[in-house]
Amino acid sequence: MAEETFNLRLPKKRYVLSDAGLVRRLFAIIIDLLILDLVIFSPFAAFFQKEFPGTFFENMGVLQGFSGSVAFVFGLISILALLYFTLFQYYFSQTYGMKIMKISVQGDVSFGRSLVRNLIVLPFFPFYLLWVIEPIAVVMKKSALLERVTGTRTIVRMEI
Amino acid sequence: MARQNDMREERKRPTILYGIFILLGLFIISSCVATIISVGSVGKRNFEFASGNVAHITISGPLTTERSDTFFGSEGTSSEDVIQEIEKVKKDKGIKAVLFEIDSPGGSPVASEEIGNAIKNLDMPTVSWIREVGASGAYWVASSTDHIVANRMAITGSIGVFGSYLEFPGLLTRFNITYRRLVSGKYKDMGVPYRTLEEEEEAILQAKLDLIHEYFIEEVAMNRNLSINQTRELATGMFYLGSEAKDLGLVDELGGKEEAIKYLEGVLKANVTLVAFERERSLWDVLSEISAKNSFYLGKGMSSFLKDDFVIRT
Repeated sequence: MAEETFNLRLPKKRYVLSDAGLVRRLFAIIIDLLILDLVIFSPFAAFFQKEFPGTFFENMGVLQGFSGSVAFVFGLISILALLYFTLFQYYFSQTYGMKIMKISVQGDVSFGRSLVRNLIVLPFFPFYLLWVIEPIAVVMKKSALLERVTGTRTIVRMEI
Repeated sequence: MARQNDMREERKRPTILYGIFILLGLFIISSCVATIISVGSVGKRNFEFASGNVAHITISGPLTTERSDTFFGSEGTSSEDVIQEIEKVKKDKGIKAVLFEIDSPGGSPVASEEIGNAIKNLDMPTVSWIREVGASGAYWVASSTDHIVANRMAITGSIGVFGSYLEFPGLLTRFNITYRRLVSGKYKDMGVPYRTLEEEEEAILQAKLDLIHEYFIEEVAMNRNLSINQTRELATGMFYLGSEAKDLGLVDELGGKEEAIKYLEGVLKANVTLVAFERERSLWDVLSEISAKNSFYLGKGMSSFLKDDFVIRT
């Protein structure tokens, strides 16, 4: 006897896509920073402990004139962090933090565009100015400045 | 176009494995660079950002001619390493003086003399700071500097030589073990612990020790501007506390690091900023140091359970 299949015609899952807000983005970054702390920062823990043996405030004075090797390590960590964001957004449209916060990148994300949209990670002039500009842009215009430059968007996918 | 989109979709499929590969890659790069930096930068100036004018060299533990490395770190200070640091000081035009921090019970007379000579060949002011122990060979080293600062309770002096050893032919006999003596040259196995030392041999060894003792006395007398007789009277092997040593002329000043720095500031007529000079370390040294620290903290953790039972108090 042939088995009968019934199509229950249940409604499919539906999603609403909208621009990601500042809070979601911030939480995503915090999660990503925790991952980076484990993957990129932790191998340099001994180095920083040796270079900055005092407390945070004691080291603030030292930071004004730190050595070439400290600058090199800072630079390298920044570039590796930039690579993390760039590669994940290029290959998967989202980082682990973004995945947890259910946000992703939309648009034609080439490697170059992915790199440019994440330049905010670099702690050098003029990129650190973006740390102030981008949150304001997200709140005011719903998309970051670098997103508009690269023609990409960060969207939140909400199931309804 | 559709094919391109399909490829893009395929490429963008988020697989945990690819993500882990990326993270692993980043971790490997960080670890490699961190290791290279720690191996490469250690041994040069410590705290490169603080450009100093006085080199700070530490001499601690037993003195040896060559470094003895074990998996649990290296013990003591070798003359080879100290001379290497002194050579680096000579090449550094920013360094105007050297502070030797000494915390050592002495050791090899050869190592002591090698370090002492290297210090005397330095063409700049030198000062020793005897923190806890600067005895025997370590005192020889300290006496080679221009000025000695010691804590009033520090152990100094102990100008003497010893070559004592355990002799256990009785133990071997008890276990029916025979020392088969095969030598060419009757004094060749003089001092082996497997047989009793002959009277004549003992006299020979004693004469050698006396000779080294004499070298030691001459060196200290010359370094400290004392007469040979005066030094010989002090060179009984007796150790002196810092305060006693000051009265006897073996130490110039009582105090610590502050006093040593003040002395150098007076000589240089400039503010002193210390720069630590350490020996260059290989990857093996870094790994063994990590191992040693782990073992230390493991032991420390275990000892915390016993702290109420075994306490040495001052």
